[in-house]
Amino acid sequence: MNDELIDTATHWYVLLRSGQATAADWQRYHQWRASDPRHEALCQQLETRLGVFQIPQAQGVSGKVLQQALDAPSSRRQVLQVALAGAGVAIGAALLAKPMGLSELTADIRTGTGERRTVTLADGSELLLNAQSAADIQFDSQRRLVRLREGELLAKVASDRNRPFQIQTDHARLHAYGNRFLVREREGQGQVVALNGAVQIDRQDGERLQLAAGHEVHYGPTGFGPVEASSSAATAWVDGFLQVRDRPLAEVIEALRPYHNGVLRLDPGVAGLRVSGLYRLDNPQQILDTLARTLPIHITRRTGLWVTVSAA
Amino acid sequence: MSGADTSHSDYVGGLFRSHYDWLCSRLHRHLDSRAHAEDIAADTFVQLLSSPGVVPIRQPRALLTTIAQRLMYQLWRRRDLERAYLDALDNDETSTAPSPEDLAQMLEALQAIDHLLDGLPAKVKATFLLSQLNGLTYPEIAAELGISQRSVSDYMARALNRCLRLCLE
Repeated sequence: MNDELIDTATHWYVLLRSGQATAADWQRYHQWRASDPRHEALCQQLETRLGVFQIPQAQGVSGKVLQQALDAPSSRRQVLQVALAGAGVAIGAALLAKPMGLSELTADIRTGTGERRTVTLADGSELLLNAQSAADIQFDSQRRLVRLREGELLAKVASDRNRPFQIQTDHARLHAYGNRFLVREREGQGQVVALNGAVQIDRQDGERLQLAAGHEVHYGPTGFGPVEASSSAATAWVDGFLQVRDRPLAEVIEALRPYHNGVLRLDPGVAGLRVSGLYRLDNPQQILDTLARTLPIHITRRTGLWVTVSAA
Repeated sequence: MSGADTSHSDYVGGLFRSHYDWLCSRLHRHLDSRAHAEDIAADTFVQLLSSPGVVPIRQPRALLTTIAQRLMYQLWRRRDLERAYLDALDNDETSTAPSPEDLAQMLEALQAIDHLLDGLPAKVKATFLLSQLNGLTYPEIAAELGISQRSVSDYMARALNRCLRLCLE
Protein backbone atom coordinates (compact mmCIF):
# COMPACT_ATOMS: atom_id res chain seq x y z
CA MET A 1 0.00 0.00 0.00
CA ASN A 2 2.66 2.45 1.06
CA ASP A 3 4.98 1.29 -1.71
CA GLU A 4 2.32 2.00 -4.29
CA LEU A 5 1.66 5.44 -2.83
CA ILE A 6 5.37 6.28 -2.79
CA ASP A 7 5.84 5.09 -6.35
CA THR A 8 2.94 7.21 -7.59
CA ALA A 9 4.16 10.26 -5.71
CA THR A 10 7.71 9.73 -7.02
CA HIS A 11 6.34 9.55 -10.54
CA TRP A 12 4.52 12.88 -10.14
CA TYR A 13 7.49 14.74 -8.68
CA VAL A 14 9.90 13.40 -11.30
CA LEU A 15 7.57 14.69 -14.00
CA LEU A 16 6.87 18.08 -12.43
CA ARG A 17 10.53 18.91 -11.90
CA SER A 18 11.66 17.97 -15.38
CA GLY A 19 10.97 21.40 -16.83
CA GLN A 20 8.71 19.73 -19.40
CA ALA A 21 5.48 19.35 -17.42
CA THR A 22 2.46 20.90 -19.13
CA ALA A 23 -0.43 22.80 -17.53
CA ALA A 24 -2.49 19.63 -17.98
CA ASP A 25 0.14 17.63 -16.02
CA TRP A 26 -0.07 20.10 -13.14
CA GLN A 27 -3.87 19.91 -13.16
CA ARG A 28 -3.84 16.11 -13.01
CA TYR A 29 -1.28 16.22 -10.21
CA HIS A 30 -3.50 18.54 -8.13
CA GLN A 31 -6.47 16.26 -8.76
CA TRP A 32 -4.45 13.23 -7.59
CA ARG A 33 -3.23 15.09 -4.54
CA ALA A 34 -6.74 16.16 -3.52
CA SER A 35 -8.33 12.77 -4.21
CA ASP A 36 -7.16 11.15 -0.96
CA PRO A 37 -6.16 12.69 2.42
CA ARG A 38 -3.13 10.38 2.51
CA HIS A 39 -1.88 11.84 -0.78
CA GLU A 40 -2.31 15.33 0.59
CA ALA A 41 -0.56 14.40 3.87
CA LEU A 42 2.39 12.82 2.08
CA CYS A 43 2.85 15.80 -0.25
CA GLN A 44 2.79 18.16 2.70
CA GLN A 45 5.34 16.06 4.58
CA LEU A 46 7.67 16.06 1.61
CA GLU A 47 7.38 19.83 1.28
CA THR A 48 8.24 20.19 4.96
CA ARG A 49 11.24 17.88 4.64
CA LEU A 50 12.54 19.72 1.61
CA GLY A 51 12.02 23.04 3.38
CA VAL A 52 15.50 22.60 4.86
CA PHE A 53 16.92 23.56 1.45
CA GLN A 54 15.66 27.09 1.98
CA ILE A 55 18.64 27.72 4.25
CA PRO A 56 21.39 27.10 1.66
CA GLN A 57 19.19 28.87 -0.91
CA ALA A 58 18.84 31.96 1.27
CA GLN A 59 22.59 31.98 1.91
CA GLY A 60 23.39 31.60 -1.79
CA VAL A 61 25.25 28.33 -1.26
CA SER A 62 25.71 26.56 -4.59
CA GLY A 63 24.86 22.92 -5.24
CA LYS A 64 28.53 22.27 -5.87
CA VAL A 65 29.67 23.52 -2.45
CA LEU A 66 26.87 21.59 -0.76
CA GLN A 67 27.82 18.43 -2.61
CA GLN A 68 31.45 18.77 -1.56
CA ALA A 69 30.41 19.11 2.07
CA LEU A 70 28.11 16.09 1.87
CA ASP A 71 30.89 14.06 0.29
CA ALA A 72 32.88 14.45 3.52
CA PRO A 73 34.44 11.07 4.19
CA SER A 74 33.52 9.36 7.44
CA SER A 75 36.73 7.48 7.86
CA ARG A 76 36.66 7.09 11.62
CA ARG A 77 33.15 5.75 11.47
CA GLN A 78 34.39 2.69 9.64
CA VAL A 79 37.11 2.15 12.22
CA LEU A 80 34.51 2.17 14.94
CA GLN A 81 32.12 -0.07 13.08
CA VAL A 82 34.79 -2.73 12.95
CA ALA A 83 35.86 -2.19 16.54
CA LEU A 84 32.43 -2.36 18.07
CA ALA A 85 30.95 -5.01 15.82
CA GLY A 86 29.35 -7.86 17.66
CA ALA A 87 28.26 -6.03 20.76
CA GLY A 88 25.25 -4.27 19.27
CA VAL A 89 21.54 -5.06 19.36
CA ALA A 90 18.93 -3.31 17.27
CA ILE A 91 16.85 -0.60 18.89
CA GLY A 92 14.30 1.85 17.53
CA ALA A 93 15.34 5.18 16.11
CA ALA A 94 12.76 6.96 18.25
CA LEU A 95 14.96 6.36 21.26
CA LEU A 96 17.58 8.68 19.83
CA ALA A 97 15.28 11.45 18.77
CA LYS A 98 15.89 13.95 21.58
CA PRO A 99 19.38 14.44 22.95
CA MET A 100 19.45 16.11 26.34
CA GLY A 101 22.00 17.98 28.42
CA LEU A 102 24.62 16.17 30.41
CA SER A 103 24.80 18.29 33.51
CA GLU A 104 22.89 15.76 35.59
CA LEU A 105 25.47 13.08 35.19
CA THR A 106 28.84 14.78 35.06
CA ALA A 107 30.43 16.52 38.01
CA ASP A 108 33.51 18.47 37.01
CA ILE A 109 35.22 21.81 36.72
CA ARG A 110 35.38 23.07 33.20
CA THR A 111 36.58 26.26 31.56
CA GLY A 112 35.41 27.50 28.17
CA THR A 113 37.23 29.26 25.36
CA GLY A 114 39.28 32.16 26.67
CA GLU A 115 38.26 31.48 30.26
CA ARG A 116 40.63 30.95 33.21
CA ARG A 117 39.35 29.95 36.61
CA THR A 118 40.68 29.45 40.13
CA VAL A 119 39.03 26.79 42.28
CA THR A 120 39.68 26.28 45.98
CA LEU A 121 39.37 22.63 47.02
CA ALA A 122 38.07 21.18 50.30
CA ASP A 123 41.60 20.77 51.73
CA GLY A 124 42.57 24.38 50.95
CA SER A 125 44.54 23.49 47.80
CA GLU A 126 44.00 25.67 44.76
CA LEU A 127 43.68 24.75 41.12
CA LEU A 128 44.10 27.36 38.38
CA LEU A 129 42.60 26.08 35.15
CA ASN A 130 43.70 27.48 31.81
CA ALA A 131 41.13 27.94 29.01
CA GLN A 132 39.38 24.86 27.57
CA SER A 133 40.35 22.62 30.44
CA ALA A 134 38.37 20.17 32.55
CA ALA A 135 39.06 18.29 35.77
CA ASP A 136 37.31 16.01 38.25
CA ILE A 137 37.99 16.13 41.99
CA GLN A 138 38.08 12.72 43.66
CA PHE A 139 39.16 13.15 47.26
CA ASP A 140 38.80 10.40 49.83
CA SER A 141 40.38 9.44 53.14
CA GLN A 142 43.39 7.83 51.44
CA ARG A 143 44.40 10.38 48.85
CA ARG A 144 43.58 13.58 47.05
CA LEU A 145 43.14 12.72 43.39
CA VAL A 146 42.45 15.25 40.64
CA ARG A 147 41.66 13.87 37.22
CA LEU A 148 42.74 16.26 34.48
CA ARG A 149 40.49 15.30 31.63
CA GLU A 150 41.83 17.85 29.21
CA GLY A 151 43.88 21.00 29.15
CA GLU A 152 46.16 22.68 31.63
CA LEU A 153 46.22 23.52 35.30
CA LEU A 154 48.50 24.94 37.93
CA ALA A 155 48.16 23.23 41.32
CA LYS A 156 48.95 24.95 44.62
CA VAL A 157 48.89 22.06 47.04
CA ALA A 158 47.94 22.46 50.71
CA SER A 159 49.98 20.35 53.09
CA ASP A 160 48.44 17.10 54.30
CA ARG A 161 50.84 14.41 55.57
CA ASN A 162 48.26 11.64 55.47
CA ARG A 163 46.84 12.06 52.01
CA PRO A 164 49.11 12.32 48.97
CA PHE A 165 48.13 14.76 46.22
CA GLN A 166 47.97 13.16 42.79
CA ILE A 167 46.92 14.19 39.33
CA GLN A 168 45.78 11.60 36.83
CA THR A 169 45.77 12.53 33.13
CA ASP A 170 44.94 10.34 30.16
CA HIS A 171 48.55 9.28 29.80
CA ALA A 172 50.30 9.89 33.11
CA ARG A 173 49.97 10.02 36.88
CA LEU A 174 51.65 12.78 38.85
CA HIS A 175 52.57 12.62 42.50
CA ALA A 176 53.37 15.98 44.09
CA TYR A 177 56.08 16.34 46.72
CA GLY A 178 56.22 20.10 46.60
CA ASN A 179 53.41 22.59 46.68
CA ARG A 180 53.36 24.16 43.22
CA PHE A 181 53.45 22.49 39.85
CA LEU A 182 51.91 22.76 36.43
CA VAL A 183 50.59 20.10 34.10
CA ARG A 184 49.20 20.27 30.59
CA GLU A 185 47.99 17.49 28.35
CA ARG A 186 46.26 17.91 25.03
CA GLU A 187 45.85 15.22 22.40
CA GLY A 188 48.41 12.93 23.98
CA GLN A 189 51.13 15.58 24.32
CA GLY A 190 51.94 16.57 27.88
CA GLN A 191 54.14 18.97 29.80
CA VAL A 192 54.94 19.09 33.52
CA VAL A 193 56.72 21.94 35.30
CA ALA A 194 57.88 21.42 38.89
CA LEU A 195 57.84 24.94 40.27
CA ASN A 196 58.41 24.29 43.93
CA GLY A 197 59.36 20.79 45.11
CA ALA A 198 59.69 17.62 43.07
CA VAL A 199 57.04 15.85 41.03
CA GLN A 200 57.08 12.14 40.29
CA ILE A 201 55.64 11.29 36.88
CA ASP A 202 54.52 7.78 35.94
CA ARG A 203 53.74 7.42 32.27
CA GLN A 204 51.04 5.00 31.24
CA ASP A 205 53.47 2.37 29.99
CA GLY A 206 55.32 2.25 33.31
CA GLU A 207 58.18 4.69 32.65
CA ARG A 208 58.88 6.86 35.72
CA LEU A 209 60.63 10.20 36.07
CA GLN A 210 61.48 12.23 39.17
CA LEU A 211 61.33 15.85 38.10
CA ALA A 212 63.30 18.12 40.43
CA ALA A 213 62.07 21.57 41.39
CA GLY A 214 62.79 24.24 38.82
CA HIS A 215 62.67 21.81 35.91
CA GLU A 216 60.23 20.95 33.17
CA VAL A 217 59.70 18.05 30.82
CA HIS A 218 57.52 17.22 27.82
CA TYR A 219 56.11 13.78 27.24
CA GLY A 220 54.23 12.01 24.49
CA PRO A 221 53.05 8.52 23.58
CA THR A 222 56.64 7.33 23.04
CA GLY A 223 58.31 8.66 26.17
CA PHE A 224 59.75 11.66 27.99
CA GLY A 225 61.60 14.46 26.25
CA PRO A 226 64.77 15.99 27.73
CA VAL A 227 64.49 17.55 31.22
CA GLU A 228 65.19 21.27 31.03
CA ALA A 229 65.44 24.12 33.50
CA SER A 230 62.01 25.72 33.68
CA SER A 231 61.45 29.27 32.49
CA SER A 232 58.76 31.69 33.55
CA ALA A 233 57.16 31.20 30.13
CA ALA A 234 55.29 28.05 31.15
CA THR A 235 53.29 29.83 33.85
CA ALA A 236 52.83 33.18 32.11
CA TRP A 237 49.23 32.26 31.24
CA VAL A 238 48.36 32.44 34.93
CA ASP A 239 48.80 36.21 34.62
CA GLY A 240 47.14 36.30 31.22
CA PHE A 241 50.29 36.39 29.12
CA LEU A 242 51.81 34.28 26.42
CA GLN A 243 55.58 34.40 26.70
CA VAL A 244 57.81 32.83 24.07
CA ARG A 245 61.49 32.99 23.30
CA ASP A 246 62.67 31.53 20.03
CA ARG A 247 59.88 28.96 19.75
CA PRO A 248 58.23 27.63 16.55
CA LEU A 249 55.07 29.40 15.38
CA ALA A 250 53.18 26.09 15.67
CA GLU A 251 53.68 26.16 19.44
CA VAL A 252 52.34 29.71 19.68
CA ILE A 253 49.26 28.75 17.65
CA GLU A 254 48.69 25.72 19.92
CA ALA A 255 48.79 28.00 22.95
CA LEU A 256 46.27 30.34 21.30
CA ARG A 257 43.78 27.63 20.39
CA PRO A 258 42.12 27.49 23.82
CA TYR A 259 41.55 31.24 23.47
CA HIS A 260 40.26 31.21 19.92
CA ASN A 261 36.63 30.52 19.23
CA GLY A 262 36.36 28.57 15.99
CA VAL A 263 38.70 27.19 13.37
CA LEU A 264 42.34 28.25 13.50
CA ARG A 265 44.37 26.80 10.64
CA LEU A 266 48.13 26.94 10.31
CA ASP A 267 49.86 26.39 6.97
CA PRO A 268 52.60 23.78 7.64
CA GLY A 269 54.90 25.87 5.45
CA VAL A 270 55.15 28.57 8.13
CA ALA A 271 54.76 26.35 11.23
CA GLY A 272 58.52 26.31 11.86
CA LEU A 273 59.08 30.10 11.85
CA ARG A 274 60.73 31.19 15.11
CA VAL A 275 58.86 33.56 17.39
CA SER A 276 59.83 35.60 20.44
CA GLY A 277 57.65 37.97 22.39
CA LEU A 278 55.26 38.67 25.22
CA TYR A 279 51.58 38.85 24.30
CA ARG A 280 48.29 39.41 26.10
CA LEU A 281 46.33 36.15 25.82
CA ASP A 282 42.94 37.74 26.17
CA ASN A 283 43.02 39.10 22.65
CA PRO A 284 44.16 36.28 20.35
CA GLN A 285 43.14 38.21 17.22
CA GLN A 286 45.49 41.01 18.18
CA ILE A 287 48.32 38.54 18.78
CA LEU A 288 47.83 37.19 15.25
CA ASP A 289 47.91 40.71 13.84
CA THR A 290 51.08 41.46 15.77
CA LEU A 291 52.71 38.27 14.49
CA ALA A 292 51.73 39.19 10.94
CA ARG A 293 53.62 42.48 11.28
CA THR A 294 56.85 40.78 12.31
CA LEU A 295 56.76 37.47 10.40
CA PRO A 296 56.35 36.66 6.69
CA ILE A 297 52.81 35.40 7.26
CA HIS A 298 49.36 36.39 6.12
CA ILE A 299 46.19 36.15 8.24
CA THR A 300 42.96 35.38 6.35
CA ARG A 301 39.68 35.80 8.20
CA ARG A 302 36.51 34.36 6.71
CA THR A 303 34.64 35.24 9.82
CA GLY A 304 35.99 35.72 13.30
CA LEU A 305 35.33 32.01 13.65
CA TRP A 306 37.57 30.91 10.90
CA VAL A 307 41.15 32.09 10.61
CA THR A 308 43.95 30.84 8.38
CA VAL A 309 47.61 31.63 8.97
CA SER A 310 49.62 31.15 5.78
CA ALA A 311 52.76 32.35 4.02
CA ALA A 312 52.67 36.02 3.05
CA MET B 1 6.30 11.19 39.09
CA SER B 2 4.49 7.87 38.65
CA GLY B 3 5.71 4.61 40.12
CA ALA B 4 6.73 3.33 36.71
CA ASP B 5 8.91 6.39 36.08
CA THR B 6 10.62 6.01 39.43
CA SER B 7 11.43 2.38 38.81
CA HIS B 8 12.79 3.20 35.37
CA SER B 9 15.12 5.86 36.72
CA ASP B 10 16.16 3.50 39.53
CA TYR B 11 16.88 0.90 36.92
CA VAL B 12 18.93 3.31 34.78
CA GLY B 13 20.69 4.50 37.93
CA GLY B 14 21.71 0.92 38.66
CA LEU B 15 23.01 0.48 35.11
CA PHE B 16 24.90 3.74 35.44
CA ARG B 17 26.67 2.60 38.61
CA SER B 18 27.67 -0.75 37.19
CA HIS B 19 28.55 0.17 33.60
CA TYR B 20 29.48 3.86 33.36
CA ASP B 21 33.23 3.36 33.90
CA TRP B 22 33.27 0.42 31.53
CA LEU B 23 31.51 2.44 28.83
CA CYS B 24 33.87 5.42 29.29
CA SER B 25 36.98 3.33 28.89
CA ARG B 26 35.52 1.51 25.91
CA LEU B 27 34.61 4.80 24.21
CA HIS B 28 37.88 6.42 25.09
CA ARG B 29 39.71 3.96 22.86
CA HIS B 30 37.90 5.52 19.90
CA LEU B 31 37.76 9.20 20.83
CA ASP B 32 40.59 11.68 21.00
CA SER B 33 39.76 12.99 24.43
CA ARG B 34 38.51 11.48 27.66
CA ALA B 35 36.10 14.41 28.06
CA HIS B 36 34.39 13.44 24.80
CA ALA B 37 34.21 9.80 25.88
CA GLU B 38 32.61 10.79 29.16
CA ASP B 39 30.20 13.17 27.45
CA ILE B 40 29.04 10.44 25.09
CA ALA B 41 28.81 7.89 27.91
CA ALA B 42 26.76 10.29 30.02
CA ASP B 43 24.55 11.18 27.06
CA THR B 44 23.93 7.47 26.51
CA PHE B 45 22.43 7.15 29.99
CA VAL B 46 20.42 10.33 29.59
CA GLN B 47 18.89 8.93 26.42
CA LEU B 48 18.05 5.71 28.19
CA LEU B 49 16.56 7.70 31.05
CA SER B 50 14.25 9.53 28.65
CA SER B 51 13.03 6.28 27.06
CA PRO B 52 10.98 4.44 29.71
CA GLY B 53 9.82 1.96 27.06
CA VAL B 54 13.28 0.50 26.64
CA VAL B 55 14.24 -1.93 29.37
CA PRO B 56 17.11 -4.19 28.39
CA ILE B 57 17.30 -6.98 30.93
CA ARG B 58 19.69 -9.51 29.56
CA GLN B 59 22.36 -7.58 27.72
CA PRO B 60 22.56 -4.04 29.05
CA ARG B 61 26.09 -3.54 27.74
CA ALA B 62 24.99 -4.41 24.21
CA LEU B 63 22.23 -1.81 24.38
CA LEU B 64 24.54 0.83 25.88
CA THR B 65 27.10 0.17 23.16
CA THR B 66 24.48 0.58 20.46
CA ILE B 67 23.24 3.89 21.82
CA ALA B 68 26.76 5.20 22.39
CA GLN B 69 27.77 4.15 18.90
CA ARG B 70 24.90 6.11 17.36
CA LEU B 71 25.78 9.19 19.40
CA MET B 72 29.40 8.91 18.40
CA TYR B 73 28.53 8.63 14.70
CA GLN B 74 26.44 11.77 15.02
CA LEU B 75 29.27 13.65 16.68
CA TRP B 76 31.84 12.57 14.12
CA ARG B 77 29.58 13.16 11.17
CA ARG B 78 28.80 16.66 12.44
CA ARG B 79 32.53 17.41 12.66
CA ASP B 80 33.25 15.87 9.24
CA LEU B 81 30.48 17.92 7.65
CA GLU B 82 31.62 21.15 9.27
CA ARG B 83 35.20 20.67 8.16
CA ALA B 84 34.21 19.69 4.62
CA TYR B 85 31.81 22.63 4.33
CA LEU B 86 34.41 25.16 5.45
CA ASP B 87 36.92 23.60 3.06
CA ALA B 88 34.44 23.71 0.19
CA LEU B 89 33.72 27.39 0.85
CA ASP B 90 37.43 28.07 1.14
CA ASN B 91 38.06 26.54 -2.29
CA ASP B 92 35.12 28.22 -3.94
CA GLU B 93 36.11 31.66 -5.19
CA THR B 94 32.59 32.96 -5.59
CA SER B 95 31.63 32.24 -1.97
CA THR B 96 31.74 34.98 0.61
CA ALA B 97 32.37 34.51 4.30
CA PRO B 98 29.26 33.45 6.25
CA SER B 99 28.34 35.24 9.46
CA PRO B 100 28.53 33.09 12.60
CA GLU B 101 24.72 32.91 12.66
CA ASP B 102 24.54 31.83 9.03
CA LEU B 103 27.24 29.25 9.61
CA ALA B 104 25.45 27.74 12.60
CA GLN B 105 22.16 27.62 10.71
CA MET B 106 23.84 26.12 7.69
CA LEU B 107 25.57 23.38 9.68
CA GLU B 108 22.24 22.36 11.13
CA ALA B 109 20.69 22.26 7.66
CA LEU B 110 23.66 20.28 6.37
CA GLN B 111 23.07 17.60 8.95
CA ALA B 112 19.41 17.33 7.98
CA ILE B 113 20.26 17.20 4.26
CA ASP B 114 23.00 14.66 4.94
CA HIS B 115 20.46 12.44 6.65
CA LEU B 116 17.92 12.99 3.87
CA LEU B 117 20.32 11.90 1.12
CA ASP B 118 22.36 9.41 3.15
CA GLY B 119 23.36 6.31 1.21
CA LEU B 120 22.58 7.69 -2.24
CA PRO B 121 25.39 7.55 -4.84
CA ALA B 122 27.28 10.80 -5.52
CA LYS B 123 25.75 11.25 -9.00
CA VAL B 124 22.25 10.89 -7.59
CA LYS B 125 23.00 13.51 -4.93
CA ALA B 126 24.53 15.85 -7.51
CA THR B 127 21.48 15.51 -9.76
CA PHE B 128 19.04 16.12 -6.95
CA LEU B 129 20.94 19.15 -5.61
CA LEU B 130 21.06 20.80 -9.02
CA SER B 131 17.30 20.35 -9.33
CA GLN B 132 16.37 21.23 -5.76
CA LEU B 133 18.84 24.01 -5.08
CA ASN B 134 19.55 25.54 -8.46
CA GLY B 135 16.17 24.77 -10.06
CA LEU B 136 17.74 23.34 -13.23
CA THR B 137 15.60 21.39 -15.73
CA TYR B 138 16.55 17.84 -16.70
CA PRO B 139 18.17 18.82 -20.02
CA GLU B 140 20.24 21.42 -18.14
CA ILE B 141 21.28 18.89 -15.48
CA ALA B 142 22.16 16.34 -18.18
CA ALA B 143 24.41 18.91 -19.89
CA GLU B 144 25.96 20.03 -16.60
CA LEU B 145 26.85 16.51 -15.43
CA GLY B 146 27.50 14.99 -18.86
CA ILE B 147 24.89 12.26 -18.46
CA SER B 148 21.75 11.32 -20.41
CA GLN B 149 18.35 12.81 -19.65
CA ARG B 150 17.18 9.29 -19.01
CA SER B 151 19.76 8.98 -16.19
CA VAL B 152 18.67 12.32 -14.76
CA SER B 153 15.08 11.04 -14.53
CA ASP B 154 16.24 7.79 -12.93
CA TYR B 155 18.44 9.59 -10.42
CA MET B 156 15.66 12.03 -9.53
CA ALA B 157 13.32 9.10 -8.97
CA ARG B 158 15.80 7.44 -6.60
CA ALA B 159 16.37 10.60 -4.57
CA LEU B 160 12.67 11.50 -4.37
CA ASN B 161 11.78 7.92 -3.52
CA ARG B 162 14.13 8.01 -0.54
CA CYS B 163 12.78 11.37 0.69
CA LEU B 164 9.20 10.12 0.42
CA ARG B 165 10.07 6.94 2.28
CA LEU B 166 11.57 8.97 5.13
CA CYS B 167 8.31 10.93 5.30
CA LEU B 168 6.36 7.74 6.02
CA GLU B 169 8.79 6.33 8.59
